[in-house]
Amino acid sequence: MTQPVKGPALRWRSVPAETIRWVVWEDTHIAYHRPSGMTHFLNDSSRLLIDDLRNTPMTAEQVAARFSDIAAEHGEDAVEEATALLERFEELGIVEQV
Amino acid sequence: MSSKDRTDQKETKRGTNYSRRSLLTGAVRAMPAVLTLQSGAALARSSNLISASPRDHKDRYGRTLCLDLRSVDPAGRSGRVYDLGHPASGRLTAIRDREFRVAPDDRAAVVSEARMCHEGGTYYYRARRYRHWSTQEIEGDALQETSDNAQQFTGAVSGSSDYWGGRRDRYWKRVQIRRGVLVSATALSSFSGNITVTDL
Repeated sequence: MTQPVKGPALRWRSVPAETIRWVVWEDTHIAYHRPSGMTHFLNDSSRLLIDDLRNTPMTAEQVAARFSDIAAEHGEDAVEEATALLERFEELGIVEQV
Repeated sequence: MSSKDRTDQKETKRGTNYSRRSLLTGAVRAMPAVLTLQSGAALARSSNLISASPRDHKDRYGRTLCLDLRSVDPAGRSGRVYDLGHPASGRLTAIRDREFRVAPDDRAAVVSEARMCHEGGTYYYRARRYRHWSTQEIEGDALQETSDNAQQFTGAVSGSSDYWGGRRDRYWKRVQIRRGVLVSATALSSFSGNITVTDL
């Protein structure tokens, strides 16, 4: 039986900086997404991730590796959480696939 | 460089510094999370919104209109507004005014069209049919005792030994409906799009 061939893993990056207007209030990061007119509240971890994705596109596995300790503390599957998060960010227009 | 560019750069710098600070101080203690603020402007951009309607849910034929919840997306926070999308689309069941029951039995509970819509499921109603037969069929089983719900008609063709006959009876018809919400016929009429109607 032949093994299925895996294609290249999906990578995500942040949308251009001018697309989002940021305001930081204590530990809350408020992002106004200009194209959609929607406002999002993100925590520190999300802001950190989005900033990192602007410099370096990453796969869900790479993102998961950054939060694996935190995910383990909560008994969550890091890759599954990272994939869901990236897909949600993509729906919101904050990140895009490359 | 405009003041706007300077402001954006400042915020970006703040973000970079913040992330470095977070790494250094270990401030990152939670999985990334995002909460989206629903803005009226964003909701208003989709004009194909329809509300669940406890009243005014019958069309001009007296059919109860039930919108399949799986064919639309919820909109807003009330839990009673749905987005038909662009172009408007959805699945609608038009339930005729019949005596629906929960089982194919005259003793089974009668159920309202509203309940059928809200709960979904399988229901039954008595349908009528008329069957006729020719001389050949009259011989044998066709002239047996009729059931309680059957009426048998027979006759003779004048000047001939042939017979004709027919039987009108009622049988149980099963219908299935998906869980949904009652909607207004007036509101639906304002949408142009692709709304599929199933007649029950």
